[in-house]
Amino acid sequence: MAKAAAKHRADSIEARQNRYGYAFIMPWLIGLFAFTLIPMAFSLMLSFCKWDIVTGLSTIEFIGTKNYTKIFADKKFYKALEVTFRFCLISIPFYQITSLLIAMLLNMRIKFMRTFRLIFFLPSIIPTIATSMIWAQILGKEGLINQGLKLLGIKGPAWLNTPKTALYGLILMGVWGIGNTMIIYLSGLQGVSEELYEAAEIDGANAFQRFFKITLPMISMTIFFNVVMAIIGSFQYFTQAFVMTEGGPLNSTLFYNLYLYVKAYKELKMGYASALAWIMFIIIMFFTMLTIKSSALWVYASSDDKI
Amino acid sequence: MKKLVLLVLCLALVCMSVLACAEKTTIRITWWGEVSANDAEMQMIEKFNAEHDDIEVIADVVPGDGYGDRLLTSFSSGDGYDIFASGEGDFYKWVGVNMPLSMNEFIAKDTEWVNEMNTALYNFGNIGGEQYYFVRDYNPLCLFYNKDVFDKYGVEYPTADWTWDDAIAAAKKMTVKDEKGNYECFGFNAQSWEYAALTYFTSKGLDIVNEDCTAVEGYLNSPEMAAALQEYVNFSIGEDRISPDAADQDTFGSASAMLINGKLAMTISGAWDKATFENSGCNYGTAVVPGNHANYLCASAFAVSKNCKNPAAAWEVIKALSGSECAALRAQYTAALPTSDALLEEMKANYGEANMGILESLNYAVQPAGLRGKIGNPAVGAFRTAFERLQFADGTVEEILEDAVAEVAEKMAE
Amino acid sequence: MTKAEKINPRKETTAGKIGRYLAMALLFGLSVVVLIPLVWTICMALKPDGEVYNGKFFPSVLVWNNFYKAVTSIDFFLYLGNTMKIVVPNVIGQVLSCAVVAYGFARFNFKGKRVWFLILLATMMIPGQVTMIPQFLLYREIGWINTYLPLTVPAFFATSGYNVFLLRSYMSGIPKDFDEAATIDGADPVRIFTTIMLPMCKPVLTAITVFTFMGTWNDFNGPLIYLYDANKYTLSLGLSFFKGLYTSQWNLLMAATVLVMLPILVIFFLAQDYIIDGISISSGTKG
Repeated sequence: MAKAAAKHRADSIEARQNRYGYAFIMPWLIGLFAFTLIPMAFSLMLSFCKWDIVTGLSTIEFIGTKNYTKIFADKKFYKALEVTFRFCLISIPFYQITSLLIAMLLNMRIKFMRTFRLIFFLPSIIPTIATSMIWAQILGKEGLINQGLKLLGIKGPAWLNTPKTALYGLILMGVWGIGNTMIIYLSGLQGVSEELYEAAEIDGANAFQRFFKITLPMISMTIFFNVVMAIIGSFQYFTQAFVMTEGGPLNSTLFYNLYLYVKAYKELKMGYASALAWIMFIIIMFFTMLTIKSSALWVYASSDDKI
Repeated sequence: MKKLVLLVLCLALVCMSVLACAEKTTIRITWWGEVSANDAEMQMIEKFNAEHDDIEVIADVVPGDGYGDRLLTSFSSGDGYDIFASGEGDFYKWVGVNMPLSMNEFIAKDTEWVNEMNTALYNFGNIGGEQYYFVRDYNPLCLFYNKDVFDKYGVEYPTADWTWDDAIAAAKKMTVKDEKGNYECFGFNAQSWEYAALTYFTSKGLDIVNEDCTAVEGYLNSPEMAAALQEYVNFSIGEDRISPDAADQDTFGSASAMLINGKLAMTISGAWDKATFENSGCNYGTAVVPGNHANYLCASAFAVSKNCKNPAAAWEVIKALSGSECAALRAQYTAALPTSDALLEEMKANYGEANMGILESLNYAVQPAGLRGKIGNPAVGAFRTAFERLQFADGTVEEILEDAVAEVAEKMAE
Repeated sequence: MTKAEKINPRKETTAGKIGRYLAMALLFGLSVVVLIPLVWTICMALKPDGEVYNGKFFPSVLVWNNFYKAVTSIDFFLYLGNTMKIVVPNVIGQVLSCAVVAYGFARFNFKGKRVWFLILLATMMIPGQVTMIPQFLLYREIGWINTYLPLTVPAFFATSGYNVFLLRSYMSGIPKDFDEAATIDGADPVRIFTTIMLPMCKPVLTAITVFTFMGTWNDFNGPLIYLYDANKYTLSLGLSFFKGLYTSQWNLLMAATVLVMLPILVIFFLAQDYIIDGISISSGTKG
């Protein structure tokens, strides 16, 4: 009897959770089926087809897995993968650490903090056209960076015009766009309670210990969010390379999405481009899953709140 | 009562069907440019709409940055625009995917139509015997130079009998470094933009494709081409360079900025730069390209789409937009050169002494390789790759050009 | 004064003081680097025509008239109005719908939750370049081309995975004690959402407001593809016209650029108190 009642209660709690859960995510579900899934499915279908785009829907021609086999024999595909992986490998940790460090600076109790915060968010606001002109100068032969290197006795290259350094030039330039990530870190840091730090200080913990034992664990959820978004975003990096280097010199900045764009919109090979996109989808999915799985080890959250 | 209602309904139906018959044919047209009251094509279309009861033209002007994306998405459904604009670099591409409609039939039938366009320009839009494109705007390439720089270093201004050796000798005189070894001025801009580079080779009597544009073997990889290419690339490499490299140009902003500020003596460019130099107050001049003066002509043109439901109406619009009236409006509002001979002649009187080189270059303008045959575009693409590889010393010039020939063969096999 | 200061009037050690001054110096130095491009943009915007290419940083005279010229040479206010027609619904739609959906993901253990959430992330993993045309075809099918509908309606269906994910992460960090106490008081989930969750999420909702505002304000491709009539164009398209119109007149282009980014600056300045100082709950505190 008691067992049955307990079971009944459990059922109703479960049913309640289901009911409310689905009710709340309903807007997204509707949007997913109405606006998002159809185009995605369409592009998946196109990846098995040949389509010149401008000739209209009636000319879509099914060709099986030909696009995929062609891609795996395409030298430029591997080049694009290499560039993109190298970019992700460097830029993801680099941007996360930089934005966290700046967020920590902006989280200190210092005069004019409001103004400083505004200033550090500014780069995200300045339109690409102005930023790219300025950065072409900064990364140039006589630019700001090489002036700095000169003080150290190093003769710097023209960053974006040298095959070996162009990618690093773009990575450096990307620091400009970390405003959003920084703000999210800042809000995470603001949420760490002061009492924890005080208690640690009383226990004699030094600044490093406090950072690793308190700050990092306390903002682990924020880090998790930023890292997942960085993975999703970095693999699809496009705009700056499109504006600044167009993939050159010597394909040294031929990012995956840039190659995909060229295939689709310049060479009119939508089927091929769609196949490229779905290969990228699998890659991003793999690394996102890896991060999610690993999060059990380093993200402090109750099991309910984990993904 | 019922009958009355029925009668009224019937009458209404008849009226509606009559109205439906009189409904206008709409022609949708697009081009890249700017929305402004002073747009020549916009004015022409307004006038056209006022004069035609049966056709209504709806124009969508798209910012240049997004024109390609807009064109592709709108055509993806199978209808899209009735008339679209294209740059000459894409002429072959669109024909390759069956996008434009040949106007031959309409031209043959239309006995009243008087073609006011310059013959060479008119033929520019002809691909494989089919008249697909109608030029709206075109630019020959010529030599722009800064007169003050020439005066400063005591060099005579370029003349029509200059050979490339003369030009390079002059450029060397005007390439000057300060005592610290920094460049104060460069003589010539050996740019990597393939139209300018190919203009250099063409005016030296070289070409990357054969005469009827069917083969690259023996042209793109000829020993003469290899030597000339190596020489051209070397102009902008190393400590003895006479031309700014890409990094120098970034340092100073752009080649135009360098020329305006006296950091560059000569560059090859099109009529679009006329406004830049005029506005900056630069003491500039123009001349025909040295050598045999042959230069690549850049152009944009209108074409009727295959999807157009009413090509006869579209033909009327094309006629209006390619006629001399529209050409006159364009010349009035923009830097565009008029497409008709008569207007061009008229324009010469007050085009300005400094700009005469632009007009003269017209007499020597040639069709870019990409327009002369199917192999043209792959050849230009392979040339671009080869050029970049040579700039970064990614092999010897012979190897690189052999690879380029192979690349063209691969593209043609697809 | 930040929140932390109010709570904690901690005594300052010498080392702490030195650290503070160092941080201040570092912030100041970095600020200069960050500000140069902005100052350059403004200087360029104020240059007379003849000085655009002279390579000097500062203009010899300030030509404020450039701003007037920039406003009048394109249909600035028409484009501004059109942009607002897209921005306002987007901000309202995204903030509301994403909050609701994130609450569902954060607080209920419904069947298939993990799978749905992965799908939510997955929608962000396919490059937009290949879904752009299918999306266009879809909206065309339902007759939404050349209207603002494709640019606004989806916002009401939590189509931004980024926003939902961010809100969910934040909500997960709010202790469940609040909900439980309210449940005992007889509040249903809807009430808890509106009276407890939403107010507590104010900082992150403000951040989303700013991000959405910026994203929509600067969006180029969406309006480009869906809006055909020039009198429906937005500011970002208008700015791009500028590039074609004045290829040589960088001063006017930059003047227009400054005008276009001004509103975002104002919005951020107004919002930053809410975003940064308003947070009192730590995210991810429960082990």
